[in-house]
Amino acid sequence: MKILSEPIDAIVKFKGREKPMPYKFRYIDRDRAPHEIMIDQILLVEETRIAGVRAFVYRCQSEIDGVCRLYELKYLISDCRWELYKM
Amino acid sequence: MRTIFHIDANSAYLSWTAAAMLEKGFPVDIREIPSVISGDPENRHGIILAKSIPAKKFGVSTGQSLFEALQKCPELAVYPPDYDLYMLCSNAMYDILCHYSSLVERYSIDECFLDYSSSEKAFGDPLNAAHEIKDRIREELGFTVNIGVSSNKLLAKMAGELKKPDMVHTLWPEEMPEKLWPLPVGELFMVGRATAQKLKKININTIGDLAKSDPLHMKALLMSQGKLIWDLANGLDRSPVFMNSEIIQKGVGNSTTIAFDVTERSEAHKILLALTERVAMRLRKLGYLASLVSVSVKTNGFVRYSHQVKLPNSIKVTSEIYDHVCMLFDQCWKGEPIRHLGVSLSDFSAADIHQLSFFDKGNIEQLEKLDEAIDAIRKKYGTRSIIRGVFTNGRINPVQGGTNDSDFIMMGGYMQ
Repeated sequence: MKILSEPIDAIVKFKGREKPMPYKFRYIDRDRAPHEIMIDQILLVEETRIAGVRAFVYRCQSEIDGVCRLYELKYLISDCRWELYKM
Repeated sequence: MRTIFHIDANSAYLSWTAAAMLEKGFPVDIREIPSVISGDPENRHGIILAKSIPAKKFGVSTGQSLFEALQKCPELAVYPPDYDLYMLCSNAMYDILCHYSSLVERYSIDECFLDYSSSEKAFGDPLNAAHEIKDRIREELGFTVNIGVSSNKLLAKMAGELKKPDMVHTLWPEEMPEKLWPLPVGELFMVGRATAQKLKKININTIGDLAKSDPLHMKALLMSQGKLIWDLANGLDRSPVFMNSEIIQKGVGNSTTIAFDVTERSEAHKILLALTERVAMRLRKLGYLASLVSVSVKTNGFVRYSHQVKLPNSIKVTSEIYDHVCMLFDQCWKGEPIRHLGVSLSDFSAADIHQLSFFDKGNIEQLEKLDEAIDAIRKKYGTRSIIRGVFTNGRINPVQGGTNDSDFIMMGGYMQ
């Protein structure tokens, strides 16, 4: 996986005291092509603090163009913003 | 015996910028190439704030001008400072340290002292704990630190300087002859370039030479500093690790290097007003009144001078301080083009009791209320949410001095 750190639009489920859970997201790749991806499975959620920036990193799995792919989404807590972190 | 840790981020500004850039997918770790963090030369802030270890090999040093650094290393990569990021990194490091002791002193933005004396029961051997802290900071925060371990703050600080980066060093008193004394005397804390030269003249070249010299001789040569550095060379330091809230501030001051040379008195007054706004706000935040006002000037020829006045009463109102600042400036300015201006206040007394004067201009209580209201608005909506009319449509920033609206802790630390 390569770090992309691209901002994304996300639909997220907030449930009580639990961490926000992303449901699906849309992003525009570097060739300006839009992609809409349903999150099939969240394998792992980790809290990180690299360079002092608090974030939740979600390792996810989805079927993209018929291929099962792993990628990571990131929720930047202080910015309230989602990123496609690695793919 | 106490156990003190000194934790120092390696090339702080540069490695914090590097960690943030890598996290955003930047392909190169700027710590591994000749690179620097520098202010903007367009605004005449082109000074090297931090350098990478490969840049150091080209002779680039902190405090040098960017122009000089680029001459030494033309392929030098230059990045601007990001003070918001630096506060985040510093706070994150401090939070990790607070996990290991209740007594952590934030010495500067990138340095902390930690009193580990009563933490041994909970976290075990100090050396193992130091390695654990160092590794945690690297893994969790993405930058490296050096940790010095010893029985007092001075030796811990000197230990942290021994070999960089990402290392833990001990410097117990019995290790001084082997690890500390062979170092050049200029490496000792509190020995600057001028003192090192004075010591070289009397054939004191290493810290060991200083340690073995006669303390009375040192005191005669360098006054109280002579005794202090002799103590430091012998590893004698009893200063406790302070909680930052216990440190008493004795003065506040702000200064600014102006992007253009100021030649008009009225323009200089505006910049002084912008600085006074900041300084007076900081004074009121501390809850003090000041009775010593000082103004400093640096000309375009790099000549510095300052002028101060001791007031019979203590003040905190912005406009009252500004009147004294303008008077001081008018008395000392000789008409040269100005590059840098500064305003500082000291001789504090508590703000809750204060003597009114027959000679107060206008209604001071009303002005105090006005300042209180302005401070509250600025606290809630930002420093520039309310500004003086004199700054409208002008090129002068209405509140000047300090970094990140003055919440930033500078590099370098302070002595109690």
